[in-house]
Amino acid sequence: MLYQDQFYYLGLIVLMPLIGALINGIIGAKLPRKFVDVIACGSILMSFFFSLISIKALVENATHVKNAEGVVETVYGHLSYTAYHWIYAGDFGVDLAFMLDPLTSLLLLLITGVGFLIHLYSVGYMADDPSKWRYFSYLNLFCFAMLLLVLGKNMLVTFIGWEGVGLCSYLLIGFWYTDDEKAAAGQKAFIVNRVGDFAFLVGMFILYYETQTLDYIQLKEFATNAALIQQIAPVAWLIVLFMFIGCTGKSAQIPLYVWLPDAMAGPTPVSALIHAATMVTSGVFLLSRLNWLVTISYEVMAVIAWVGALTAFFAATIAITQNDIKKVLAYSTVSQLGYMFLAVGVGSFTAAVFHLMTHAFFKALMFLGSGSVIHAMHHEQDMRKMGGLKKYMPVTSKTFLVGCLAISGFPLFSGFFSKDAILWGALSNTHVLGVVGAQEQIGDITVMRGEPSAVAQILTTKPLELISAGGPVDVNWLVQITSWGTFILAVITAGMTAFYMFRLYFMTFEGECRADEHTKAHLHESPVSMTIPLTVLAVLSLLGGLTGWPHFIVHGLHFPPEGFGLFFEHWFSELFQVTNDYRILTRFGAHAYGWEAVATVSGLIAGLSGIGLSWYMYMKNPEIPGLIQERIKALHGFVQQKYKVDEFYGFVFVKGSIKSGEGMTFFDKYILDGVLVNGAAALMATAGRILRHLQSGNVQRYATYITLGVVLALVALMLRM
Amino acid sequence: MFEPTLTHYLILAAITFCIGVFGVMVRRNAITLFMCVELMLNSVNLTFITFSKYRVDMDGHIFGFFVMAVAAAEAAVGLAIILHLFRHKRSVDVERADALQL
Amino acid sequence: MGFWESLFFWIFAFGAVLSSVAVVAMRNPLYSALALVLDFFFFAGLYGLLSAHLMAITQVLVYAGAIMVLFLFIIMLLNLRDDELGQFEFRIHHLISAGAIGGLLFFVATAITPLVDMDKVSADREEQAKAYEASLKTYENNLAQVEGETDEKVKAEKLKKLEASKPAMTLQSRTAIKGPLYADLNESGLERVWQERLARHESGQTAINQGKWSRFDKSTPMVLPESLSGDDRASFGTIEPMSILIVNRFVVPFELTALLLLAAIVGAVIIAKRRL
Repeated sequence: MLYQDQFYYLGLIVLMPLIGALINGIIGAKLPRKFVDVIACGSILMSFFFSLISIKALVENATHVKNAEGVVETVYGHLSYTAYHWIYAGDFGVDLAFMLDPLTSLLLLLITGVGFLIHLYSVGYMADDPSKWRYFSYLNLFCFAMLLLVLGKNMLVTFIGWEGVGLCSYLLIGFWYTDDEKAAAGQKAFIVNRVGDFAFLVGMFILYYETQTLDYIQLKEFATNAALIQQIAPVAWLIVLFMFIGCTGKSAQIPLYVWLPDAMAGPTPVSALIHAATMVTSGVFLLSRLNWLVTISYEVMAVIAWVGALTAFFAATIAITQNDIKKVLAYSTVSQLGYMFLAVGVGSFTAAVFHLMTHAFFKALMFLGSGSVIHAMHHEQDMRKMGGLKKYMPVTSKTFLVGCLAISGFPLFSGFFSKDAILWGALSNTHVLGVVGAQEQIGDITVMRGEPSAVAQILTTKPLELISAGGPVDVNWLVQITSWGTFILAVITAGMTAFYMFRLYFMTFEGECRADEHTKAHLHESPVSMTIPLTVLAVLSLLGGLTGWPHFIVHGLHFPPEGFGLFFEHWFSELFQVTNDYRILTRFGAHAYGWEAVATVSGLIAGLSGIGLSWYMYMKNPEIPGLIQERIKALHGFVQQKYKVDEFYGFVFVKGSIKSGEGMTFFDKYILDGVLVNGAAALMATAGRILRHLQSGNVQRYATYITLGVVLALVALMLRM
Repeated sequence: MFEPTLTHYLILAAITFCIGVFGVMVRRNAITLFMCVELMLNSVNLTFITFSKYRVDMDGHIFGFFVMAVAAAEAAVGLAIILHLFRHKRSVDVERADALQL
Repeated sequence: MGFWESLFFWIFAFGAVLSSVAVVAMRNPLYSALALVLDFFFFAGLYGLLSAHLMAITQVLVYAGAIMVLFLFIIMLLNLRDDELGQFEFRIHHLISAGAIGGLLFFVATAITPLVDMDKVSADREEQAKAYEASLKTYENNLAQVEGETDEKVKAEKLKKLEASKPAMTLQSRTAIKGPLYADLNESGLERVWQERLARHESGQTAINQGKWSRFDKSTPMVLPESLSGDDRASFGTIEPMSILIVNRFVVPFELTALLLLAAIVGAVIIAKRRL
């Protein structure tokens, strides 16, 4: 039996893609093209198998304990592997260590599983590219960095991965670097990400300063210890805010989302893997990992929720007006990521991670589907020139339909369940500090003289009084506004999502073909290596959500059985225990199935009406969109140009720095150059004429000067003491 | 007084180190100058090993070991440089190599 | 430390200083080199006195044996004639150098000497022992209090918390040297440290250095040779703990050293070659 804390398979998981990347990167150009494919796909497949083995070991290692109410709970704990004691200097020590827990295991399966499918797809998609080896090397390197990010046992290892995926994203967006526009898109992504990374670093520094550790396991001890939480609570909001700014960069949220739509310049499988399934969700992963820290300050949670909801809404409005098939998907991704952050902001971490998973399935599916279309259309991406592709590409169109239904929240498709969980979370969750009277109720029981502060006590005490009453609780205005506001925004966005997704589907696959004759003649279904991933992902998009049914169905109808229907929640219960038991309450009471049904039904109605409207406008009466567009030309144009955010950023930041630079030129030319520089230069020239005799070129004189310098330094030291 | 302690070893190392530095400053023969550098390295090694003993921790030995390896590398390169210098100037006097070029 | 060790220390010390002076003073580099070889032997003797056996051997084999042969080889190769060696001529520069060296030695010596202020060290010791006993007493009081607890669960929890706060005996001299200095800077202090370690080892407690031997594997129980847990006095400084340190904790620096030597060899070949 392997040691629980020396489970070296975790190291192998990370190592495999690195080896693949190195082989392909160093000698890939000289290898036969088949070899390159085999090495790239094989290394990810190995990683996938090692992941399966590790997760099996995690499950086998689990212990079953009876909790206070007599219910048997499964505690998975974690497996870890310390590869190398990386830094140790005095009290500061960081290991290159990996950790596997339920959250990581999900991400592992996504990265290696979906990653393998996308590698397989790339074999077909990049078949004709001359520098395929470079592509696969980058792609493997990305998988390595992403695995490092999710497997890291401490925040510094996560940070390496965090930077690594940014680098690989840059390399792959600008993969066709001879095209200036694409190279510029890569640079834009990198620079915008750097802004976020800086905030991440600052957050990490503050966290270390307060806790003296970066290890996730050690950090978690702060979560429920009143004395320790008191120490970190005053700055928690700052740390979380900085971390969140870091996440807005990586996960494309307002205000740093601008890079993601441009990132579509890269090859389509890259968009599927990096800019839909894995990298952009790393922000959600990070905040979920630190959920106990995020839930300390409920004001910051409200900020996160609002940013998420607004991002979801605005990105959806932009997506409606776009005509480029990949741009629609890109804005859709931004919008769905907004949903995830909304879930994080209201404390539904399970829902956030659940949506992360289902989104990875159906968005990867749709990106790959669009790639298949683009491949067949000879790199034409404008939907106005497509249409009627259904009969040429049966597999692509069918799988794409599955993806559209899933993202629209059609019942029993995966997106339905995850979106429903987020809507319900937004509507019902409240932070314990947001409950009116909570401070008095809980505070009075435990706060004593000389004990930790009331807030720290509340954060580390299970709100038993509030729960045992079981009924609805009053919440303060911040929670009220956030709850209703984000819920309504999310429902509207759900409708818009369904609308633009089916708009895309109808424009691309239904109706008459609008392509020119030359393209039409070459239309064909994609090769098998591309359709197999599509099919597998379609099945996953269809079935992936069945592990997370709404409570009112599972408890009310007793179907499906709880172990299966709420599997996802149980799988993560231990990880989000602090949040669920100590921090977040359901404000409608324990068994508010009616309210839950309201959330589900409103999401469902929004989705179905979006599909219906889309069918009415693009299938039944195709002239309507044009008419509407005429009527609100100004608004449409404004939205189509992405609210001119790029122009605004360009004006404020780029132009602004140029203008201020011009202002400084004057200062530089006359004051700095004229007085300081030239004056100093004249002084130096005079001094140099005198002092140059010291620089004889004689080594021994120099040695003497050094020694004299040391003696002088010692004298200074002595005088100071 | 006669029983050696930490201080005795450190003072001894300091003395030999200073002799080495003095040699580097006054000897003009490049080879001798080089030997003085070796002398300095050795006195540093002595302090490492002394501290190692009095802290009951063998890390100092390892450091001494690495210093020896570095000294070997340095001797190889340095002597090659001296050889090169001699070929160009027909002398190993460092005062004649003051132009920072050959 | 007995008479013979002290005697040998003084012999080696004077020998080292005298031969060092000879290295600087000899006009012919050949004699300098021979003086340096002698010097290295004296240093090796000092290492031996410091129970750094492996280092002593390496000193003789590598330094005196290999590096000095390289020096002698180059001296022979250049074959400097007597008039090429140059004459000693007095310069102002020499005076400045001597002054600098004097200053350096003075300041270093004034920094080193107060390290062994034995009064201060023993006062420190006593203070620490008192502090340790006081905290031990508090700990035992707390323990007694917890033992009186009736609720088993609370008791276990409190015991666990208490266990973490159990005072550990630290042996540190708060002298000018930062970090732990386990001995009282002389032989008798060293002797006491070894005895304490032995006692600790026999009572089954973890050795001080355990856990930092390996850079790769801190958490798993690793069967260390007794010498490595710092409890076996006889093997201190011998090849066994040395080699385990090198291939575990210092393996990356060690590999880098290999790389450095390779680079040095290549560099030496390129520099010394007449024409590339």
